[in-house]
Amino acid sequence: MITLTVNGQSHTVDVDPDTPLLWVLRDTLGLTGTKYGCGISECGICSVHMNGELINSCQKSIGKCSGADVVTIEGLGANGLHPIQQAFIDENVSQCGICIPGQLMAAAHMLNSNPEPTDHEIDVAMKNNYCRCGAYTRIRAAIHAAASSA
Amino acid sequence: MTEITKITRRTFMATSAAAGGGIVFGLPFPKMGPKFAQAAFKDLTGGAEINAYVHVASDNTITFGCPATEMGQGSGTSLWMMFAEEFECKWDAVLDFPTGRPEYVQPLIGLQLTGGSTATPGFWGVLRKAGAQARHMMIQAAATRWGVDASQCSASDSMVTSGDKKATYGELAAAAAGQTPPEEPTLKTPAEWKIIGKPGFDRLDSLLKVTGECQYSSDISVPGMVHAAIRMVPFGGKILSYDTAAAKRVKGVRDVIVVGAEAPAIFLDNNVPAVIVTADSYWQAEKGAKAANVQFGQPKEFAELDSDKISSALHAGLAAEGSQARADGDYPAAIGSASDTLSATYEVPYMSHSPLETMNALADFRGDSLECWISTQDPGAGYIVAEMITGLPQDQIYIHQTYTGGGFGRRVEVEYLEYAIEASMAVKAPVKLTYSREEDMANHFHRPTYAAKMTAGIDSSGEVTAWQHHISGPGIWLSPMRSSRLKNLFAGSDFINGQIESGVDFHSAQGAKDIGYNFANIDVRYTQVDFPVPIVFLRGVGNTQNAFFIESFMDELADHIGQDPFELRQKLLADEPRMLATLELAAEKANWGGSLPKGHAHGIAFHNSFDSPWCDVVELSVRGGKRVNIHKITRAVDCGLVVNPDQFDAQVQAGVVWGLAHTFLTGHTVKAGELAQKNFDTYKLPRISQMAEYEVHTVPTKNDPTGIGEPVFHTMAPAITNAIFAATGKRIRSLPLNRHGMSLA
Ligand code: FES
Ligand code: FES
Repeated sequence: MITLTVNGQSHTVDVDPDTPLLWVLRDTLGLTGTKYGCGISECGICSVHMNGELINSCQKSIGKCSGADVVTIEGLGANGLHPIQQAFIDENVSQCGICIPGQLMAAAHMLNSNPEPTDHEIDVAMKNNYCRCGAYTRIRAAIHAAASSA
Repeated sequence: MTEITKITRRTFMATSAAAGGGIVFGLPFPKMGPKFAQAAFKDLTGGAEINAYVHVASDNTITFGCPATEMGQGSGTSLWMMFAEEFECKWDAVLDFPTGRPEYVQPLIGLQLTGGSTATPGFWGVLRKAGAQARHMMIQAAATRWGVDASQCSASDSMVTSGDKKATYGELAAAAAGQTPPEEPTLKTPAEWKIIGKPGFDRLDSLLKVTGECQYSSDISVPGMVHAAIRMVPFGGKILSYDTAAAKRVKGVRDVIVVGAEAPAIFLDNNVPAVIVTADSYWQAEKGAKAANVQFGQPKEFAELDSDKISSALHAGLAAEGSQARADGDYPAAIGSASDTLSATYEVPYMSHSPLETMNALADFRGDSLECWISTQDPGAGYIVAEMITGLPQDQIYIHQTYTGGGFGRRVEVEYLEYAIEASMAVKAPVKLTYSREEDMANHFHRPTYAAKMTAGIDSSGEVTAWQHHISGPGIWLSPMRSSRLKNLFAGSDFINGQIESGVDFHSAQGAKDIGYNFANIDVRYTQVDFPVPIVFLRGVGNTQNAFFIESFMDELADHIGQDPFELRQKLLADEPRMLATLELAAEKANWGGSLPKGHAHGIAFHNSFDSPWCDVVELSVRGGKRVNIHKITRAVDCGLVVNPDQFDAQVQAGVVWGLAHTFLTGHTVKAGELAQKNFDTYKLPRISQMAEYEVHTVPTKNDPTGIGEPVFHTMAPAITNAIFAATGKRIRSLPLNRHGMSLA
């Protein structure tokens, strides 16, 4: 039994401790906004915030999440949309959309500590997030737009 | 061939003969539309279905039944623009992707399938007409209610008015549904359009996609569902052993089943054999699959296959005579009398589509009915295979098409659905099958590998008088390794018979056979060379290799005869106004021939595909002979009328990323009978830091829309390698560039 907080709610889950947080979110808690893409820390579509850090949830065993405070895409805009979500809508960033939750978690995490990122800082912060559809120009534009709206 | 296929094929051919043919890429395809019309909006209660494309609720909520898949290309929004333009409704609509009605059959294909850049051109007339019909039905309902003539009523903004009388579409929906629409309503003229071709119409699915609420089939759960992981055999092999007991010792594991090899009565000659492990959660299923320690065996010649052997076989194919795909003038005479000749050989590798949502499907077989959920481009094929596997009539089957996490041609095949149905039948529970990335990347369909030998003859005045393009490699239609039920369905059609007879695979020669360059003597030929790697269409299909071959060689030819690469193309396209205009537009906007910063060079490539001529000019510099820095990409296209300017630009942007991937990164090598790259640690995609700056220009036109999604990237590779030559003098004749030690800065 492991107890953790997800999007402000406490959950106690009874799963094998080696289960990645990703699959606990998706299969046990039904929070399917966090996606599976590679399972090896290459694509970033499983990105969530844990204790304020940006992590790949495919790499974090639930056994190591006891007491953790996790925020997923479902909890990002706890009080309406987060500015980065609004910016992604305004810039029509999404194509297939499957990478978008991970992009948003990574971008929101960067904006927390760096509200006015340069192009280079965006490149560094977003380097772990693949978009196979290829929406990179608009992702960059949306991050700048969110930065100036905040 | 088993009994089931025979029966189904016979039934199918009879049906198709009666139903007449659809047309794909100008070729006759049998019509395979649904045998039974499903309800259009199954999950909606209340309100009314006005026609198969639109449902209006009493609170005025409009649901658009989009006949095309939404896999990122924006069809949900672009197709709604066409319908909404005529329907005179509020812009906002809920997107739905219903399946199984004849109205959803792609008119250019004959099946409910999204591919070949057909969504916009294929539904262009259909949806505007259906929108106008739905508007007429609303007006007729209002006119009847008010006892006035329909001509005294008008509609706009989801409201019908007549004098001081007003009624919303929601109020009228139930009565409107019973009206008979005019057969051929008058459509608006372009001057009257308020939506089509106008900017500012945002994607309808953005909110869902930024909140994580958008559901792909991998996100769906149903009561009693078990999760499944799969291990497919490497190509050409069979299962030697697996350890059921070990798998079942993993907590949560329920069943270990074999599909394929040991179930031939159901799994025909189609899918590779596989072991499927079901469990309470996906993680447990994957652990179980690992514990099962499945051992595979391949025939010796497959087990020893590697990239070098593949390359040698492709080149041996080029030494053979091949089958003629096109013959203009007298090529042998022209090349024989040429005063100078030039020849070069090129090669491209296997390439995987790698949409970020891995293949998956949820199937719930209940004995007398079947319900499925799939992220797919091809629900039409889903019905056909579901019927073949279960023996159920199509009216007992329903396929929910969800949002799709990338398709790129990979999801034209539906083998993931076949496996899931099979598993659900075996374990008697709903099964959600999810491929691991490794299974997705290494064990299924790829863009084929090809080589080409290009030869040109030049006469004494410096004119290029002879052109030969010889392609060798697997054929998506002709090779056994695109073994799928879908392909088998086409057996016996004129489309397939023509290819068998000529020996020319349609997609292997696509873009080679139909070049726009006006050479007096042209010879295009194809040699089929097979390897046991499964193959399928990839965005752009045959053009992805042939544009690289043709446009690289054009550049070599220009250099050889001392002409400017743009001017040589300009001369050869003089009789093709749309192509010429596109070429010239790109050159003009890129300031071709103008001065560039020191170390920078331009490369140009042109190609005509899916009826959309496209030209890219790339400006780049190369550091240390290895690090390629792309400064600017100038793109020009004539894709007819642009219905949705925002999504047009999104596709152009996507094309840049796909072009960079194709040019620099995404190629498979084969080692000891397997694809060597199985995940993104070795099969890399471009990252945001590598995104290049681009601009795009369209040729002014009044023509109907043509393709955009497919032609977006295949001119990028030759434009880049031609620019690398201009910058460094180094010729690149094979992709990707990471195999030449070159990388994207
Ligand atoms: S699924 Fe976690 S990084 Fe790809
Ligand atoms: S939007 Fe499809 S992968 Fe990014």
